Amino acid sequence: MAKTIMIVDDSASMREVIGTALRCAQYEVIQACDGLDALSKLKGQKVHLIISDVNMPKMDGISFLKAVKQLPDYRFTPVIMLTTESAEAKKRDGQAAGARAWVLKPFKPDVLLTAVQKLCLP
Amino acid sequence: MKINLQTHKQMLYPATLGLAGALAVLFVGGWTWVGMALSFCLFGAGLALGKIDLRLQQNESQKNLDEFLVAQQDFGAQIAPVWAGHIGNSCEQMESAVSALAGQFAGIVTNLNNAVSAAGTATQSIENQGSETSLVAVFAHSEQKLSDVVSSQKKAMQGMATMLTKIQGLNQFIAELQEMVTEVGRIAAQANLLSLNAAIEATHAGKNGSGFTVVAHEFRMLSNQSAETGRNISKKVGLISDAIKATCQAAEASVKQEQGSGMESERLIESVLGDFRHVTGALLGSSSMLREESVRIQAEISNALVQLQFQDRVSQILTNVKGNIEHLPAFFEQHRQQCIDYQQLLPLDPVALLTELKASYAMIEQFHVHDGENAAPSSQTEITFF
Repeated sequence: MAKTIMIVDDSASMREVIGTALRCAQYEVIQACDGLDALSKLKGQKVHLIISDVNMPKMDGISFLKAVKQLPDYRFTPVIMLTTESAEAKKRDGQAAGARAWVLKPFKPDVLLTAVQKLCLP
Repeated sequence: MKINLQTHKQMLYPATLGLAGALAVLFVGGWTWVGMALSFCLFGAGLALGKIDLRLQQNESQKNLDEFLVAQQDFGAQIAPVWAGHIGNSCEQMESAVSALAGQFAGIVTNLNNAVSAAGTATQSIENQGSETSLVAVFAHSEQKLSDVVSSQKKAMQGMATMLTKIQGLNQFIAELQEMVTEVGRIAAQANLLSLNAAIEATHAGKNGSGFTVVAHEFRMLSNQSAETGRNISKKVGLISDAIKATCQAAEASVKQEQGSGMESERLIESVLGDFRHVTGALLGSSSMLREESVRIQAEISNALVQLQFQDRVSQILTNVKGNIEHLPAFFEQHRQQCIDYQQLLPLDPVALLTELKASYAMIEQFHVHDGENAAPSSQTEITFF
């Protein structure tokens, strides 16, 4: 059975690009345009991994990550931050909030897929 | 400030004129009370006029300054939303177009993957070494079976050739039998001659040879029967010889026909196998090319996915610039307030705006551009595991 990955990014084109890379590797994909949208779409879904942008309207990636870690069903769901944000302070914020990896855009599909395969829940 | 220096200079003209008038009155009227009072009044009037003129000039300058600052603020208030609007609109259009492009690309990739997958299955069915049903295995199996057929046919022909040789070998026995028959005939003739001589001698012996005459007679009959049997054997041998010759001819014809047929079958089988080998080779070549193309397509898809991410980066940069432009009216208002507070026209200082813009950066190349450095985006995906 294919594993499900949630993509959280305010850029529709980025969601398509990430989704294409994941679908080519036989993953199921759920898309959300910001943190709030992602939280509402998480309910009742079995998600094996989350890939989230950092800078987003309504709810940014770090706040979303903190909110996810408060949800009992998703406390152990691995989260990869996929962002253009290169500041070390932001990285540390992400790490402190519970992110498992920090990937800089633009990403190479094979590199992202390696991280996904490494971190995805069984 | 240039305006203040000019206003001070202009204030000096009436005061100097008043002073000159006072000195002229003193010079003409001498140091009298009236002259001194008149001079004082003239100098005072000059000063007063200078001050009034200065106040008027200052008011005019202040008015101009206010008008300039208000106009500057209006400039910012009018142009900033337009610039920001154009940038925002461009970002939206780009986002919309690139999203549609990415969606179409995703569809193409899905179809391509399906095609490559189907081609991969076909390739596997052609090349799968371990499978009995692969085209290569079927071809090898068929080739083996057809080789077995040709081999069996060759063995059958060899058997027929051996049989023909053996039949041809019977002719030797026929010849020997003919010689034996001839010998039997010769012996019978001699026995007949002997019996004749014996009968003659028995006749000469008279009564004493009568018994011998019977023996000679019997011997003669026996030789005649032997001669007759020899002739019969000769006839039968002739018939057998003819039959063997006919059989040999038929067998030779059959062997020749079988040989021709076998060679033709072998040629046809080799031709069919050659055609089949050619088709299999072409299929193997195609499947190999498909596999290589599939790898190349995957690499190109990967590159295209990287290139499609440019919109997100450009959009982010433009959004930062748009936000900075939108702060232009507030920046002009702040500048106007500072000018009013200091009662003079202060130079515009870009540091605050640039600092605010820099604070909004996320990408390393934005910092490079800000500092006037080369801003080529990194081609390596940076990943950090926690």
